[in-house]
Amino acid sequence: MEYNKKSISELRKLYSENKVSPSEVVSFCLDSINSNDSKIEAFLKVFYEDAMKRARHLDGESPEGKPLYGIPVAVKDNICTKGYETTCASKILEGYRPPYNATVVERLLDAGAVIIGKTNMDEFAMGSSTENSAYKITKNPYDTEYAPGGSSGGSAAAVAASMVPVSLGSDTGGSIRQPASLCGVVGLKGTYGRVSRYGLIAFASSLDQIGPITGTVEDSAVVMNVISGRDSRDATTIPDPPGDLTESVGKGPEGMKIAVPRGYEDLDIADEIKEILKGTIEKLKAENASVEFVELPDMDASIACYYILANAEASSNLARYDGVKYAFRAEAESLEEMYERTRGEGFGDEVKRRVLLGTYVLSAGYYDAYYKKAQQVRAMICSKFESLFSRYDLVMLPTVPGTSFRIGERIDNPIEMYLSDIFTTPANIAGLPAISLPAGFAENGLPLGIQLLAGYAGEAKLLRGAAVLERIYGFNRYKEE
Amino acid sequence: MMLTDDEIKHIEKLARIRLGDEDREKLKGQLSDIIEFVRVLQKIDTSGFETAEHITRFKPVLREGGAGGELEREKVLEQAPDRQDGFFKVPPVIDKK
Repeated sequence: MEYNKKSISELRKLYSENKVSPSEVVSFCLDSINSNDSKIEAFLKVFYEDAMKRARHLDGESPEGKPLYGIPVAVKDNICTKGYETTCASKILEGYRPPYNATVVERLLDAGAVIIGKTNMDEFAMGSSTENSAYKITKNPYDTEYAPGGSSGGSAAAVAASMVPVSLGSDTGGSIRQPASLCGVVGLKGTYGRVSRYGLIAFASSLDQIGPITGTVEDSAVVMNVISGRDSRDATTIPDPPGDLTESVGKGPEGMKIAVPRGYEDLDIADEIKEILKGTIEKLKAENASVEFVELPDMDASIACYYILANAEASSNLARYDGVKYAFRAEAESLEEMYERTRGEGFGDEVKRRVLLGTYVLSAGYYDAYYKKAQQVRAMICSKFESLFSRYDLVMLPTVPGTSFRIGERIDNPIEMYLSDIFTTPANIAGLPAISLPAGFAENGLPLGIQLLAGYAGEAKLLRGAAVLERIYGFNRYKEE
Repeated sequence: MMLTDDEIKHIEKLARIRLGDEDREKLKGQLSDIIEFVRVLQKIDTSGFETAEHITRFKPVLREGGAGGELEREKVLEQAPDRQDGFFKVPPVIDKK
């Protein structure tokens, strides 16, 4: 039995029946990484020895009360792991070993998980292809000439290539859902505040959320149960717990009210996605869900709003990389010169572009026209969604306009790259929970994803709907061959 | 809209990022395109909408004040490129000239 090709739910069953030990499972995953990752390049660091040590320690313990007992987890490299290098795939943080764990890492460890390594990403999570990493270019496991998406491309590829059953990503404008869609896996972003951001290296604090990338919807519920909840170290975390999300999985869609963008047939999306949407609508109706066509908030406005706000926040958050406190410093004669050279040499092209743009929209004379205007547009989008979700349980739409693109194809055209996020940024702008799940394959053999959005704190409905779609699509990467 | 050389140099200064000449030329064009792209917002009627300062829906909850959970000074300083006597060490701040 290849234990690296098992879902969390299957592994949990095997553990509870005492049929396998954590060290057996972990060694299968490490072997899979060892033999495949030279080709995929999903990982920046693999903890071969320490993961085995932890697994052997767990061998002697009971799985009782530990929902992720012996489950190997890969963690995106912008999530702090105490004593282990955490670089955000940036040269400016090369060698940085945080003196603390992110809250999510503490929660994973308390739940019995084994951290396997750190995954590649676009530098500081800025990008949609993982090509902006300062260290390596991750490949799409379905076709290594194609990008895995981004910015959590390493995390999505690691699950898609059966190196781990779950990884953590972060989603500021679609960075969990977009790579999940392009790699044929499930990516979940909770409501803003559902998961603590303590120890997540900040990109845009009003948009960032950590979430799981898994092979199945049920697995994403299991992991979300563990990582979500109030944290005294993040004042924006939601006080009320979401309840047991695994209970949402397996229910039918009867009575659910689902909204689909009116005129989706005319959207600039792949024909295969239109077909999938059409088929899904029919099947949902056949199972007594109601499906109606609605006007969604303006997607073009949402993406423009996103690129102003995210970059404005980034320009402030990334001010801390000044050559004083962490890792990289460029030599210079004066403090001022040291700041400018450290940041000029330490940041990659996309990060510089975004910090400069963010600085521009916040600068005197432009603040009202860009930043303030974007904040008003954000309020408008939030209010439109609020009214929409007072009438509907879920919104269904594509995650990305099509399948993945070739590595190198979009890297010199930032705007084209930004447009990969057109359907994902609205959930971040409005702080709403959203999930992407695999819906099939295009003619070129690459995966296609469908996205669901729910209202504020609507994770239970979201996962109920996602589990229904998963059954309709009949896509199960863990089914026995 | 095209950014001028002076404008981009001003933004570089504000952001404390020094660009090489070649980079500056490339970024100037790209930033101008992106600014053009986000100007779509100017056309949207947002009258009646205040700015969304935060998007949490609950009243901010403060925790009890109290000591605990601090990081060790040495552990934090260990990550710095240069330090001395328990402090971060930086190049001269005041120009001697």
